[in-house]
Amino acid sequence: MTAKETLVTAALLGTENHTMEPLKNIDQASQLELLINDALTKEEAAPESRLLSAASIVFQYERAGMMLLQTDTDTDFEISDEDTRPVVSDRLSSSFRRIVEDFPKLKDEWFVQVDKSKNKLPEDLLPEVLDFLASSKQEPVNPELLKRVLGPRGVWLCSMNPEWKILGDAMTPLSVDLFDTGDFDTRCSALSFIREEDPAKARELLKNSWQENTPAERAAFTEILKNKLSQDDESLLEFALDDTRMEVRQAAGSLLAFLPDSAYSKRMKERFDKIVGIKKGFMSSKLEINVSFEYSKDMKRDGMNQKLDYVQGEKAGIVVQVISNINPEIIIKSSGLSPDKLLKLITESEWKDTLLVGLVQSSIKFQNQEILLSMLLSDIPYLLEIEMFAELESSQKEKVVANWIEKSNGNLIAAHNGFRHIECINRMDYPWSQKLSDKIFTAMQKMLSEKNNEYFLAPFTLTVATFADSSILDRLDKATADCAYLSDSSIDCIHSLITLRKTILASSPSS
Amino acid sequence: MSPCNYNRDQVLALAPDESSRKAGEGLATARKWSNMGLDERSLWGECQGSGARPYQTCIDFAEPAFKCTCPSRKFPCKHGLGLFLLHVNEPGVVIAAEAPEWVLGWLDKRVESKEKKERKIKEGPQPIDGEAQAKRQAKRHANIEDGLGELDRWLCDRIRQGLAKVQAESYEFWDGMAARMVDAQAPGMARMLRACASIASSGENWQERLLERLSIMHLAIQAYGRLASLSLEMQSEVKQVMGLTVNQDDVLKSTGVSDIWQVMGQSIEVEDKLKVKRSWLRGGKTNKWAMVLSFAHGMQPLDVSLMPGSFILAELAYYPGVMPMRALIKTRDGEPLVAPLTEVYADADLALLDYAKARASNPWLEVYPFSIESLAPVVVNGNFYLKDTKGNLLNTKIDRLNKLRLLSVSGGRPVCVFGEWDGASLRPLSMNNGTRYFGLEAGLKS
Repeated sequence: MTAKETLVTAALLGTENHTMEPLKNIDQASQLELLINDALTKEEAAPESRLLSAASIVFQYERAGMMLLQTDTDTDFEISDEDTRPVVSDRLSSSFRRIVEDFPKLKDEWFVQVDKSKNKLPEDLLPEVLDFLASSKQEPVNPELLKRVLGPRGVWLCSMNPEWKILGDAMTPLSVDLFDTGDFDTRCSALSFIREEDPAKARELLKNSWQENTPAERAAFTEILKNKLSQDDESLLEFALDDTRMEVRQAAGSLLAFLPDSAYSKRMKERFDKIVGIKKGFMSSKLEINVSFEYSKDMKRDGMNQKLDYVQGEKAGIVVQVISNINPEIIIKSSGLSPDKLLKLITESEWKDTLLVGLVQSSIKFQNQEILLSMLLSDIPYLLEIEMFAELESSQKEKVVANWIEKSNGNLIAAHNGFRHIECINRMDYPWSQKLSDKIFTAMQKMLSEKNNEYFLAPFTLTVATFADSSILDRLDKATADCAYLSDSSIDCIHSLITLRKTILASSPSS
Repeated sequence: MSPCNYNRDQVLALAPDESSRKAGEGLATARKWSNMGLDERSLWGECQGSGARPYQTCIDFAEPAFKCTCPSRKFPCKHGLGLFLLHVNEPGVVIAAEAPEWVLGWLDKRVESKEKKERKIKEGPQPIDGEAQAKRQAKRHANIEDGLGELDRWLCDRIRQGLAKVQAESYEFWDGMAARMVDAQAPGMARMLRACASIASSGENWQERLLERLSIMHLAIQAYGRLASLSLEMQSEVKQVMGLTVNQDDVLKSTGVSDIWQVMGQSIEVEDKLKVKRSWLRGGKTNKWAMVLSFAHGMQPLDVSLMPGSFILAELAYYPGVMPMRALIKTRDGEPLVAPLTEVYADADLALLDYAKARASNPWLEVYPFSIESLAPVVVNGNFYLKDTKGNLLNTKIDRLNKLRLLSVSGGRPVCVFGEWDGASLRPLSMNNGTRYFGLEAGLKS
């Protein structure tokens, strides 16, 4: 036991239980031990006082003569590549903290402006940026843009912290070993990485490990094959359709539907053709629905349920599942109908509700722009309107919003389904075109002057101030400043946001 | 300091609390203000509040100092913060103008008060009643001796019964004795006692850390018991350990040290409601260290006049002690200039050698400044260290975000790191990657 350990033990147990003796072997004692013994043998002091005095000597000695741990170079981190770009302006970098605190939706504009500046972010800001992106519940920033803004230092830093998966798993090389030995999340990450690098290898790994995987793993791993999906995956996915678990078969079926030449797609198309027929007349056409089928083993194998919770009736449920697993493009092509005409026939059919649910699901799943646009431009109300809108490309979204503004005569909020339309606009991608921004601003001016809009007005105005083209910012600031239907705090908030946007925009060299 | 030298983060750091910060942000809009103006020295404006007359708000850039006619007891108030933020966020909104009477009146008063203070320092302290002062000192000395006697018995009781029994004690157990030390006019000992409360539950080897703390207190009690036999410098040191204050006028009266000082880094600690900011300065010519403390109670903001990383031309006056470190700024001149961090030690061995000397002359030394040229972040056995060129591993006391900042700035390469060494670990406060200074802890960058 060292002198320090002896003293600590005595202090822990208490001198009334443990007598503190002077150190032994005093003949060969060091200077420290001599000093300790000197303190421990001071007769005029109480034993406790002696122990404390001796302890103070030991600790002083230890602090003043501290020996550090040593290591070799193997412990060093991998070095990051240098980023030789100059640092962005202080105004642009400091505006990031304001975005995090008050206006997180401005992040896209901020990233675009940093990118435009062609300068790097200050290195000490990078952890906050990565933390913000990792915890953000909003749409992720475009990965290519993000990589440019983060630069080599940011990308390197990302690989240092498992909490930051914002650049995707593909950023961190993950080995086959991890797929064999890791926990569920690690195995998913490893398989995703391998799929990205070598699709055939991922397929092989999944096939070889099929029996050992749990049903949840089989379903999750099958879904990973969506990345770089090709006809080569068909045999494995067909094999997955023989799985005993429905969730695994559904995962496989869902992917097979994306392969137009797969046997699965052909089976679904056959089912569709038996159910839906087009009777062409001289003046008009109509849809004929044939439901003289029964739920079969084949349907079960293809991942179809006998009943759906959200659809009334067994047969209706099967119709929905058949339609939702066929690419709408195939339906349009085979029927020779335009999307508008197809929609018209559906709305005239007795099976309108069922057919629409199936078509909405399939157009969302296959992101069919023609059908989505046609449906959203029609007057039909959809429960999944927000999800449908989300799948549209930016230019199509602008068309739809312009149509809503026109139909509502400028008062979006007051229109039927207005609250959903506002929600869709809230979710629009940055940036809005100048044309759309002008249209929305014109509509907004109308809303600002009318009562009964208060509930939606403030958040909507804030959205417009966040995403609209910068050319309307001054007009918007002025229009909101005098609005009688906005509270003072809302006006201040909108003004602060506009000011911050102007600061961000003014920091970019192009302005 | 010119108006442009402040950024939003620095202005927000002046806010006494979160609600003032938010309210200040809300007032940082031109539509809330009228009659705004700006000159080299100050910024002013009128804000319509709930009263009939608008509040007059003015900011003196020099410190900065605030004046507002609103009834708020917070300082600076939301109006002061709002106006300052407006100017920082939207340069150009407040335009140059001639200061109105009420602004000039306040600024003149400040100049007068500053001159008066300087005169007072030059003139020296007011004649004092020596007899009465001696009486007061003797009474305090007796009070402290009584208190320390009681504390020593209490410490011995803990050792007699064993520290194992202490582990289960609550905070009140330590706080009770600490309160007695406050009554005995030895607040320094009270502070040490309160710090013991958390040691017992601090995990592995807590008994070692607690014994160290108790032994240091015991050493201070012993030293105070034979104060008269110690050198004047050591007497002064021991008195400061007890918490006896040194008259600032006396410090300022002493001969100062003029130099170009770099503000190497800052740390902030909160004890009860008292915020203590330590600013570490390094003299370029004299190679001296100095520690300038600033205190803020409750809602009061901490001093922001020493900008991390900046150089200031100043004369400092040191508090007496065996190894003078704490200092006051007697005078300062010119604009602060930001430059890369000054390296002091080539490796950890040299820094530790200096620390050993300092600790040998002052056993109560709590923290010591280290500025080491090349430290690289490394992880060994899952623990984060800073490694010097000789392969020495420095244990660090650093939170998650600052650790990641350090890693990011370094890019895995060695960087110059400044921090406070507490005898066991380094608390990094700033760093330099060869081109720029980066402040840690307070998150301020300059």
